[in-house]
Amino acid sequence: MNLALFLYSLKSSRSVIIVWCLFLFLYALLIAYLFLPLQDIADTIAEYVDKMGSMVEVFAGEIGSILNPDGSLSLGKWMSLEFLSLWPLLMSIYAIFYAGGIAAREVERGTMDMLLSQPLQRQRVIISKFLVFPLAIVSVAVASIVGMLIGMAIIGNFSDIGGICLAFLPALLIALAVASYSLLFSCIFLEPRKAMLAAGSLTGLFYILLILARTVGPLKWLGNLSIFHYYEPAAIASELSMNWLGIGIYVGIITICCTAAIYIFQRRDIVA
Amino acid sequence: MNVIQTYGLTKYYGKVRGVENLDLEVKPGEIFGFLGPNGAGKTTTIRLLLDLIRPTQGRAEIFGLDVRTHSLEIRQRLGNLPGDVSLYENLSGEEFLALIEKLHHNRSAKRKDELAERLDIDLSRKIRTCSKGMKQKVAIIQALMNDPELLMLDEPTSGLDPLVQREFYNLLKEEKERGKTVFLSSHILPEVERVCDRVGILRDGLLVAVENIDALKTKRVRKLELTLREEVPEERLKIPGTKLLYYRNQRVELEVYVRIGELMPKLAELPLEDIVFPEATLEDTFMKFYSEEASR
Repeated sequence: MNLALFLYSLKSSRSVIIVWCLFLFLYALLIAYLFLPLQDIADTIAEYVDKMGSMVEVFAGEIGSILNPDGSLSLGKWMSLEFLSLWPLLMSIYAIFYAGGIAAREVERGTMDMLLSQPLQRQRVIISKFLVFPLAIVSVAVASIVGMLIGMAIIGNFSDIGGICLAFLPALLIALAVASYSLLFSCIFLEPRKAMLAAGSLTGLFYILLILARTVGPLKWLGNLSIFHYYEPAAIASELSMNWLGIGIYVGIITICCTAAIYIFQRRDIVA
Repeated sequence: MNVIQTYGLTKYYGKVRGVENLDLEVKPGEIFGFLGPNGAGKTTTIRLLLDLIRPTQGRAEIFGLDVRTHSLEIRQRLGNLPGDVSLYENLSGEEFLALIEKLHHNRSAKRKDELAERLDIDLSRKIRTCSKGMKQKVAIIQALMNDPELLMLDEPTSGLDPLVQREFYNLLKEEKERGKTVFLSSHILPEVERVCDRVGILRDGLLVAVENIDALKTKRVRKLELTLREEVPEERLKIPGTKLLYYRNQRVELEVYVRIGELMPKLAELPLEDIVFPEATLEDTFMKFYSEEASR
């Protein structure tokens, strides 16, 4: 890694990181706070879930999953449903836009020529710029956790806090996996639009596979092909049950895609 | 040992020829001009030398080191000014140069302030607010400030006003006096004529000639423009030592191969209204060179 380039990239991304942190801090706070009025209508929700079909549950959210077996509301499950399940998806959008442009945007703007005529190895350019992303999403995760904690403090309920924080681990890894294949597309195409389109389409495909697997019984196996399938925030938040296969898959995707991206970038012509 | 040496360097972009079979030698301490019209392959050659693109065939060496396997060591010793200057717009000139300095592992960039003063630029301004010429100045400073042994300059005076251009040429001459080598790509002939020792002429990706600039100057072709008071038979304009290029409406253009003095007796016999004998330019020589090469 080249520290100067890393710090420059971090400085350039500063405002975007701050906006994400602020947005998810407020969103986490709001969702945690909304648990308070929700407790008053727990019975209504249970009744509602009974009357809903499984199809509707898929699209409206697994409303039933926020209830404990005794019919009470679970804070951990509520946060999983309304916040943690969305978190990696939102960070995936950030990943596509950031990592999809790492090599491609520099080449398109012509600044890559300037960088690579300095005594700087090609892989260092990629690594220095990519490493900003993990730092950014960890910052967003911290801001989200702080938002949740403040919300929990307001409603006076800190149940499942350990599990909720733990659920950020696979969420962070999903975002990193999306970022790593976005980086790979960036190095392959060297055009930001193409790279983002490819990464966005793949992420969209993963999400569609997940929906299909959940809604069409015979296609349940398709879920295994989606990176989102292995992310079960409710199970982590309420039972501290981690899907280690999923963790392994995410780490594998990150390792393979980053290595391939560096390999390709190292050997290709830098032509806009 | 040559500072730059290429061996049959060839680059094709698919079926499109970038450069082909380029055998180039740039000697230490010289300013080598790389001449050619747009699309001739000048930038492709520089990009090959910088290892930004990889050759289809052949190889290149800088400081005796292979540009592919020793790219990093080479780039520690060279300063590059790209043809199409793109800088980080969100930084000021000062911040950008500080970043470049750090990429050079904080190698002393003591010339930065001196260069900024000579090129008359305020480095505190954000690059996005700078004009094309100011950005070019920042790019020139980044190329020179680390005191490189070899300067690779692609269309270096693009966007610079004449005063700054002159200062830039002075800088190049000083670099040469300090023993530095300069590889300058340009399509501006007076620029090459003014600063270069030797010139390589590139055409459609092929190196058609490498000439000493002084030798090229001796091959200059001068044109003589005459305005006549009245029409004369064309036969009277066939003067030994010249070639009639144009004759219409009492206006005559002759290509001159001998000293003007030798032509005077014959010219005196013509009903002359006006004579113009402009300074011969390298451009005329160059264009003639091109048309001759093209007709082969």
